[in-house]
Amino acid sequence: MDTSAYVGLDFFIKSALEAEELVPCPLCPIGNFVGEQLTNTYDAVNYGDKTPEQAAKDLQDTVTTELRTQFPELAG
Amino acid sequence: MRILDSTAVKRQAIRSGRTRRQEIRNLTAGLLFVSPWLIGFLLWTIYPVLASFYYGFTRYDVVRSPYFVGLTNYTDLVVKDTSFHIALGNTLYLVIIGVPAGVVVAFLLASILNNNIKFRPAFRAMFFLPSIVPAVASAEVWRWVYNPRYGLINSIVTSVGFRAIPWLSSPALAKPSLIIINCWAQGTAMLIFLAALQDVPRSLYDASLVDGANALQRFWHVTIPMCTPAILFVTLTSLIGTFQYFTLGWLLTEGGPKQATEFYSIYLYRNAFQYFKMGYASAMAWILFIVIVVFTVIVFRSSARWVYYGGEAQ
Repeated sequence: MDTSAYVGLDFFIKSALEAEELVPCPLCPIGNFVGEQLTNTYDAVNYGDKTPEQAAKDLQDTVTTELRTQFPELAG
Repeated sequence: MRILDSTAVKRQAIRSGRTRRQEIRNLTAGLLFVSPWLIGFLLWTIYPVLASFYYGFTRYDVVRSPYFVGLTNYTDLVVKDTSFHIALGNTLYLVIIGVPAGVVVAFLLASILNNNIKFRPAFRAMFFLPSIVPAVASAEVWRWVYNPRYGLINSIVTSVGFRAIPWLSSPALAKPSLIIINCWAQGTAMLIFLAALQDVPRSLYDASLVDGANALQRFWHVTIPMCTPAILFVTLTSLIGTFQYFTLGWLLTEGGPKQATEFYSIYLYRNAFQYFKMGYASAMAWILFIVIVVFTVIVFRSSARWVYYGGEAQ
C-alpha cells in the first residue's frame, strides 16, 4: 500500500502493525448525552453561531455539569 | 293480627335478602366480565400515571433506586435547561401555526369536496388516504419529496432555474416543512368537516340567496358558523395531538438541524430512553400535561364566543 498517498496516512498504517492489544473504549455513563451535545456542538460551529474553541469549551462545561449531577461519585 | 304482621315482615326480609344476593351475584359477574379491561387500566394507565408523578420528584436512571430530589427536576427544567426552552418554543410554534393551518386546509378541502364536482368519490378517497398511511411510510415518501438534490419539489424548482430549497436541512425551513406534511395528512379532519357540512340546513342557504348573499358571504355567514362545533372538536384534538408531536419529527430530522425540530415529545423521549433520566422525563410529562390542560381550557372558554350550536340564539 502506498502510505504516501496523503500526509499522515502512514501513521495509521504503521499503528495497525504495531498494535499489540485491543483496548475497548471506557464506558461512559452519559454517552448518549455526550453524543447529542456533540451534534449540537457541530451544528453551532457549522451554522456560525460559535467558534470551534467556544463550542468545544461549552461542550466540556455542559458534559462536566451533567456528569456531576448524574454521577457525583465519578465526577471527582 | 300481630302474627300476620310478623309473617309479612319475615317474607319481606327473605325477599330483600334474595334481591341482595342477586345484586351481589350480578355485581360479581359484571366485575368479572370487565376485569380484563379493569386490570389493564390499573396496570398500564393508573399505575404509570401515579408512578410518573412520584418519579418526577426523584433522580431515577432505571439501574439505581430513585433518589428523592424534591422540586429540583421542575426548577431545572424551567430555570436552567435551555434545550427544554427550545423544545417548548418549537412545539408552541407548531401548535400556533400548524394547528390553524391544518384546520383551514381540512375545512377548505371539505368545502370543495362537498360540491358536485366530477370524480368526487375518487378525490375524497385521494385526500383521505394520507391520514391512514403509517407515519413511517409517509416519512420515507416525504424524505424523497424534500430531498435537496433529487427530490420531487427541488427537481421542479431547479428545472425552472431557481436554487434548490434546503427543506429539512435549513433551521428556518425545517418546521414549516413539517407543517406542510401535517396539512397533507388532514384526511380525518376533512371527513369530520364533510359530515358537518352535510348537516348545514339547505333552508339557510335558500334564505341567504333570497337576501342577496353571494357565494363568499354564504360561506362566511352560513357555512362557517354552522360548522363551528366541528371546528372546535378538530381544533381541540389537533391541539392535543400536536403538543405530543413526535413521529415525523423524529424520523425526518431527529430534532435537527440546530435543534430547530427538537419538539417537546422528542426531548422527553431523549431524556427518558437515551439519557435514562426517568425522573426528569416524568417531570417533563407532567409539565406537558399541565400545558395541554391550560390550552384546552382556554380554547373551551373562548368557544362560548365563536361556537354556534344550531337552535340557540347567537
